[in-house]
Amino acid sequence: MSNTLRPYLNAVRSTLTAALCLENFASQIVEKHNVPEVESGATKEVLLNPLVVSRNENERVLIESSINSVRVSIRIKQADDIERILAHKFTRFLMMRAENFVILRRVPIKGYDISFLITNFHTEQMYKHKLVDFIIEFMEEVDKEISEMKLSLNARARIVAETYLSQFV
Amino acid sequence: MSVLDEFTFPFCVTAYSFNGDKSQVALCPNSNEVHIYARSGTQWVQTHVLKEHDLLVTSIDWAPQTNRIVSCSQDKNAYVWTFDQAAVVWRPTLVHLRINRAATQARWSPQENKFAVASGDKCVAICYFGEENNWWVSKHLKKPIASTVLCVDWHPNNVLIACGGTDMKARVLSAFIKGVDQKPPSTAWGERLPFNTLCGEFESPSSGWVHSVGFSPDGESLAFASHDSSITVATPATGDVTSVRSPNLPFTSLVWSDQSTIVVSGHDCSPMVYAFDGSAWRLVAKLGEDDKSRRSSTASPSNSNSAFNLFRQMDSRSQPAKSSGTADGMLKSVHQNTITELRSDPAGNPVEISSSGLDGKLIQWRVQA
Repeated sequence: MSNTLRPYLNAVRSTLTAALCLENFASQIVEKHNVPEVESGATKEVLLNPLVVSRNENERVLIESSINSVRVSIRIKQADDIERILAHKFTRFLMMRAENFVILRRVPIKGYDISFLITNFHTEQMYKHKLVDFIIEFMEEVDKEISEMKLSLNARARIVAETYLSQFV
Repeated sequence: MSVLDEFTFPFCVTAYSFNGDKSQVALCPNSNEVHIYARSGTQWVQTHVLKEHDLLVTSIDWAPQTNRIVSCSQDKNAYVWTFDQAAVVWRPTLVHLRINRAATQARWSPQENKFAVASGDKCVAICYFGEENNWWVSKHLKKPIASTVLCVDWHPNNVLIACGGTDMKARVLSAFIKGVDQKPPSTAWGERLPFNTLCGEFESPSSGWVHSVGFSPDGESLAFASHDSSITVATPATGDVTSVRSPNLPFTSLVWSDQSTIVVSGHDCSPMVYAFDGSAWRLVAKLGEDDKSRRSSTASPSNSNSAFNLFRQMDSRSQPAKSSGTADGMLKSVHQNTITELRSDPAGNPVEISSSGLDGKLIQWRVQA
């Protein structure tokens, strides 16, 4: 892990741990409803200040919390066009299968590549420290995954080009 | 040894209440039902299931002397359950609450002739038995409350009530009902106390949602825990309002163990004891920190076989678990998840408290400073 990644992930970890203090909260706008307050945004007093943890201009995490839900949006590093395409395909693949990932949101927040929505029902079913671990692990893995894909894509392109050009030798 | 008794249920315990002698417990398994368990040896055995609510039961309170249970739910209703000795069943009576949003917490008054139901309707319903129409009727405390009320607590004089909620204020109000209550002796909170008199309004230093309020045993002070991880103690007789900020995650429940000891718990999984040392409130102990040895050898079956768990984790996640806890991913505290509720002893023993958690544990503690 490079030495700027570690403080970045530590900052995200402690912010998430503090944000994931959720409880069951029934809507005070609509009776007998129970909605994630961070999504509805209708009750201002149960929303907390959103927070951005940023490593550089391309990599940042937005954490919006409320009394019964937290929305975590991640902007993945995209240095060039290939990484942009790869990140897009990768997140699209995950989000199309969002129900298998339980806390994944189907559509990311504008300006971010992937969003998670954690509600009090998730913290009841799962251990909170494991949820935080999952998101941190995802952030570690996604960069690795994309740079690996980029390398193998380049290697493949090189082989294709060599094979193609070898017929002219 | 601060853990007196520990039992793990296979579900989240979101609300619970012991009966007077702690031989039975009413608890909500995070659903629309209330289960009654009776003690048999070291185990709890289910004896009754109370099914009347439609949505999640948010709070249960068992009156120790009159042996009645009040339960309230997000379906806007509350029921008072009385035990029918002949048929061995609990019979519900619907309470005429008149609220339009979820009920959040219900508490019997010290004399058990009234109870308070906090609600998302920005009011607290004070319920009493109306003799003329033979059911529980309510009066609403509405005036200065601006948002969902999350917690209520009764003053020992049976008249004053404290409430706190998402409007970030803790308030002391009068819940004097003519015909039910005798005129209370005057206290530092006020002398004439008609219904809905505001006797005090307090805010925490960084104004977070108030998760729990509690009157001291003599009723002279009010303590509340709020979402900015602080505890505030207000004493109107001297005019002192002191706050303690904590480096931990926010507290969600608070009980007074005696006049100078407060126990709080919440998202940090271990109850913490704060004591007044004459000038300030200080953290003196974290309950459960002292008996790691006992838990590592005999605790619940899930972590007894740590090698098995380790390999299962390596198998299912294809790598050993990295986490903030110990090697097998368990936290060091006794509770493994958020503590949902902390209750003082129904018989009034100041050193015994109990707690329930989202991990399904129901634990009785001995408080030692």
